[in-house]
Amino acid sequence: MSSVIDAETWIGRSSGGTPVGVHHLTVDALLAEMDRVGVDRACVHHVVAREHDPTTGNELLLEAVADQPRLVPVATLLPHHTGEFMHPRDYRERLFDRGVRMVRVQPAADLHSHRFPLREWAFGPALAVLEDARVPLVIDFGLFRRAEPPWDTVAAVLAEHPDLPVILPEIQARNNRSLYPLLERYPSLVVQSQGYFVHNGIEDLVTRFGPDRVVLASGFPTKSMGGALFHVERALIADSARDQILGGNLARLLRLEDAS
Amino acid sequence: MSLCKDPPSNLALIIDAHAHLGAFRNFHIPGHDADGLIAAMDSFGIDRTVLSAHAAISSDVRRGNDETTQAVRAFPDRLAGYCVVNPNYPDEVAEELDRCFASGCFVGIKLHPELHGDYPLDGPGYQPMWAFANDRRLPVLTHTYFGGDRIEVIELLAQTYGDSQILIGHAGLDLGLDQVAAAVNDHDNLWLELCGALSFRGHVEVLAERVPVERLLLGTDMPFINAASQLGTLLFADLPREDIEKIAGGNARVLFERSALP
Repeated sequence: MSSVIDAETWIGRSSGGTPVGVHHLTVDALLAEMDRVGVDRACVHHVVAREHDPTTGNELLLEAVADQPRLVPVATLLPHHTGEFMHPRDYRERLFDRGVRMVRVQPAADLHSHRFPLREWAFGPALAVLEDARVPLVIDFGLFRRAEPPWDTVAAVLAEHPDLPVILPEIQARNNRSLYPLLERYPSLVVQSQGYFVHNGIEDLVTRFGPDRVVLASGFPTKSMGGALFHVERALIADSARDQILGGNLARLLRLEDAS
Repeated sequence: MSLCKDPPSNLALIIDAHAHLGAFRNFHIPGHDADGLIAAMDSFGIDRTVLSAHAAISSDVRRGNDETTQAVRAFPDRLAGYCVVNPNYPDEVAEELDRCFASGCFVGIKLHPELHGDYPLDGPGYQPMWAFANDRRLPVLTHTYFGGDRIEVIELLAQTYGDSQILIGHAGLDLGLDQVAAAVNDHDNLWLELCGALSFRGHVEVLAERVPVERLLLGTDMPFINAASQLGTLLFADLPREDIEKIAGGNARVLFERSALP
């Protein structure tokens, strides 16, 4: 059995956003929850990169997880044109060579996101570098409840960069009629279990598209790591498929040492 | 019955107090029929589920209530029904309630004011329902949402129909935590049903601090959404085991025993 790997966690001091829940998470607290629940490794980003400034947050992240082999750093990217963020030609030296194996973007225009077009004319150079390096891209549109991703944007990225693994979080419960045609057409598209709230959803997706299109993700500490694990562990799928979702797929995408 | 009662769902009793049944126009739901629900319940360790049909809340209410009846008759030891009333047919509300409860398949009433045209909970179309629920001391589960009635309306109904038991759906997430907690503390017949609140870590722990834990009820909204992520969040909550037992099923047993949950 592969290691259990959580594709989506964060550390740092958050503004809160809601009056309840966890607003501040340390590396030690993250590791403690992983031990309590039974997660071996976790991909992690820094909440300062999400809420404030990606350059600052990425540095805080790399410093915090430098000596933590169970934590895989996930850098947050912006376009480079304004000078707020590094040029894509520097990704390798300043991110990948320092342990970053996955990246995330928050391109939506709402007040909580980073407001940039995920299009060739703005982000194409970055996508090309990621594709060349086979570094998976998590596209976080800040979806909640009844929202849906801008599917044409997702389709364009998948079509223009077929070798770039694209991971969608928080798809919510209502988007299979848009998601399925993309899964059919683009084998590089992967779904996070986090926020994929479809009843019998993992089961149906695995039946139709195979076991390699879903990865375990929790969104901890905003969401429950135990709840995320329960979601996958009780899915009515073959154990071999479950192993892939719990860690095998992500180990392969991240090229971790235990990838089979 | 082949429940998966391995840890962490090895609780004495798990009752889902908010579920549905059948297709919904707005999105694809795999395995939304009674067989699909039972398979999921078995996998998650859920003993009993109280449900209303999507057709009843969003289309022909009689057709939907009939779907619920058929599902409960197919699995009488696992499923029980909420009778849905549609306030847009005010002259049929009392008759539909009589029809539902004569069948023996229903243990409560479900209201979805949002899908019934943002109908006010205290509007005349709901009056026969409130009288019926009050007379029979029935649970009434109401959906809550940003655009719906404020908590003050629910409080007034709880006061006016003091023998009904009002379940505030989604823990009244959109109505304000402080206001909802105060209302539950002020009215013995207000309960918080947790689906939606269980989408986030930490909410149930805060609610358990702010209101009597005996007034919190597990709900999943299955198959509208996946039940595992809701139940799993409760099972791993930072609460004493006895509190999790109460929220997962003990409280619902107390509530629904009055209306003959099988």
